[in-house]
Amino acid sequence: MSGSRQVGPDTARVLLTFARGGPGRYLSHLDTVRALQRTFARAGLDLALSAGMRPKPRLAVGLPLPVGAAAVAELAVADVVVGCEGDDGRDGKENDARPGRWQASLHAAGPPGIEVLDVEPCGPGLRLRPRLAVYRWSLDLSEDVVAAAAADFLAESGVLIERSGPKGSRSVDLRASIDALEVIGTAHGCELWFGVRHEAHGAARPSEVLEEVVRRSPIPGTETAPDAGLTRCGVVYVGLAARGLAREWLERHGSETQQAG
Amino acid sequence: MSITQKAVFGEAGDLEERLRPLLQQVRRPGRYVGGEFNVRRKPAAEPLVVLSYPDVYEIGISNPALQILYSYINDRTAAAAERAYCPWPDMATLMRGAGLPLWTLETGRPVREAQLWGFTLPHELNYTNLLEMLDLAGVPVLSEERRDDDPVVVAGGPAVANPLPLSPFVDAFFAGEVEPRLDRLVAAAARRRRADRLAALADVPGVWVPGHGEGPVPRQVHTTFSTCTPVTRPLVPVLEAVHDRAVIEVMRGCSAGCRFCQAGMWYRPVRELPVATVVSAAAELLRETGCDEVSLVSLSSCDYSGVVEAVTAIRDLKPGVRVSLPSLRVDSAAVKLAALGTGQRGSVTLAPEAATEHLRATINKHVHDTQLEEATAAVFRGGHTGLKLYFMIGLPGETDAEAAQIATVAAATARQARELAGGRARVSVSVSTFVPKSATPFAAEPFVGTDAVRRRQQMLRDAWPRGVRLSTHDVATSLVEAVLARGGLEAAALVHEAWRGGARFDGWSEHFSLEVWQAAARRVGIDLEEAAATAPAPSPIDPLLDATFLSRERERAAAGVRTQDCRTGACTSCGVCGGPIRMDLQPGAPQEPARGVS
Repeated sequence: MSGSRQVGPDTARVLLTFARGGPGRYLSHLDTVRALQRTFARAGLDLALSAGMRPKPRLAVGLPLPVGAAAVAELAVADVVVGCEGDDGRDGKENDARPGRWQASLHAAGPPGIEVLDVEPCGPGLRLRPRLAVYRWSLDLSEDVVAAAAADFLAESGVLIERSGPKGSRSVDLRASIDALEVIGTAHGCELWFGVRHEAHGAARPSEVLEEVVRRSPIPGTETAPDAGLTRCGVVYVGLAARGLAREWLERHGSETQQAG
Repeated sequence: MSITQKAVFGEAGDLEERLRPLLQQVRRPGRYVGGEFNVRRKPAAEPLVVLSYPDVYEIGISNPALQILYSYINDRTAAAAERAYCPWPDMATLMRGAGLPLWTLETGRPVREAQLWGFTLPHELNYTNLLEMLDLAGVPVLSEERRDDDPVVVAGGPAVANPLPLSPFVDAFFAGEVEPRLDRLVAAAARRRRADRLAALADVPGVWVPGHGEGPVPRQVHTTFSTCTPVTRPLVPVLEAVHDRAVIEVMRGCSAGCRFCQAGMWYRPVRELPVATVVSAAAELLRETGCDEVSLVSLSSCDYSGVVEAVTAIRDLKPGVRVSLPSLRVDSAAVKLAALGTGQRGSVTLAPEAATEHLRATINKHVHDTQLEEATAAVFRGGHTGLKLYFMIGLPGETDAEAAQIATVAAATARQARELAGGRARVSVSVSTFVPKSATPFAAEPFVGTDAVRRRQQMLRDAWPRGVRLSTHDVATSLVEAVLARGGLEAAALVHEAWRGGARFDGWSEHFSLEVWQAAARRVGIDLEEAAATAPAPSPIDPLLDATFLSRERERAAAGVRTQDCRTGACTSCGVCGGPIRMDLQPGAPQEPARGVS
């Protein structure tokens, strides 16, 4: 969403929280955006259009999710036309119940792999600039095996990989992007949690982190698809209070996250 | 906020969890997990019908025929319809390695648990994919090896006009439009014993079960098409598909009479939906799909009697709604109509099919040179920036010089485009190869041969004007298509051998291998060039077309004589109409197809 135009008096900017899972895991970022746009249309909620020759719906999804990753609480910002077909408008624009009604409509209108969990009003100046993303990797293995691999990764002062792109290749230090990394035992095995800092020069990709963890210390059953079972638990954005599992993460690893902020 | 995946995403999440290790290793994993808007799940319903399009998901999900069957079976019968598409080779390799049989997208059940497995067959280059899907599902590829607990495999679609090349692999073929017979097909599938199922299927009008019954099976016509409601709750993919729009079939059949066109002959007669039905379906579709584009599809939507009224009314439903019309007629009114529908000025596609008036008379596509010029003028005067033209080479009676005329037309069109729109005008030309098809007046014409096609393609390249993009089809795929389109049981052996040799996705240039097909042809004792030039095998399907009509049309083609559209001219005695089968135009339809856009 281009931020140059003021939101008009007939639109309301809302912050959307959604989960992605099941078949939704395998959507690209653009597919996810399109699915959300379609969800609004099916709910009868018109998105405001951008200005210009080729108007686009004003919906911005935050940090792109990797293909294959589930998500617990992703954020998107949308400008909804007030008084449109799906906004019954019975109680006027200031009605506090409106976001709740919109959430219910969007929840019902979504596809099986995307679930709209929350809709809340937000200010017109809100931009989604990520500073930290928290991931969870679920494994049917004992905590000890994974903890040893994690310790090996953390023991490195730097984990350099070569990333190639259209402008050539460059080195990326994955270790420097990692905010913290921990292993938690669960009833079915364990979970590897890690936070990835997002800075001006970019960030580590979670699949790269997991490949390097596994490469240093092989974990049985992850040879062919090390990032299967990856879930993003939350993203902390600049200027927005952390929510849910991301907030819990910050509370556990506050000191390291301070460096990221 | 914490959720468990199964709690939130239900069975779809369950399927995804089981497949996850494979999905992480393939291109576009979303192809294999479903998750569309409007997906239906009836896990306890019986019988289970699996519907398949033998190509990759992004192509298959856009097929309107499958959407009709899916909606009908799930919403109007006690049976469950689920889907499976052809896994891309990367997934097929992993599935075989893991011993994982092909599953349905709705519930993840193995496809082989279905009682009926229905395929729609749009063209011949999908045939090896059908065998591949059977094998991946763990269903014996040969019908004779199937047992009571295997599904009965039924195929429909226009390629069924000649079912012989698939007859050892498919248990039953349905000829024509299946809607009126769906209930009986589903009921037949519910029988427990395979022999009973086949016998019940053989009793359904329009069904040919190889080895059952005598005489050609007549093609079925949906005689109440005009009174039916179109699909208004279609599956809408979340993965990007080839077509991203809501679709309404406004008209079935085409009476233009193009002599090369199998669909034009196969879906006769013309039947139209009332405009009110179209507009009300469009309103519902927009709500159910979330799309902002409605496509009014048919074989020739510009000839739909209520096209102007429907386009205008749908555009008025909601701001920003676009209406698209595929298969534009080559005239300025059609171009203006297309612009009215979309309100956009992008690219327009027209299909003159042949470069000279003589050849167009041969194929009964009576487009005058001036009409093409006027259409081109309408494109660029209307503010469009692009024009794409479709041509064929290898048409009956075509000479090298006539084929080369395509370059002349391209140059003239590009010149006209530049005069009208300056440097931003783009003209592109696609040249495909004519393949004679069953149930058309050209069915007995030989395929022109790869040497002639290559020579004419080279002549085109040599004479091609600068600044116009030219794309040509690989003649090798056309050769195989020609062999299968009219082949008999020897073509079935060829399909089997080619699949065993690794042929898959033959319609995809990156997968098609002529070497594989040539090797298979050698093993079964076929010369591909000879087979492509051979007269068709007698088909067990009766397309309802009168043999005299077909031979008369072939003679008229040779003489370049026009046959009128029976909507506006005299009856052509094609043999299709009779009893309940009749042309069904809307009351008040103009006698001339709509040209009323100024």
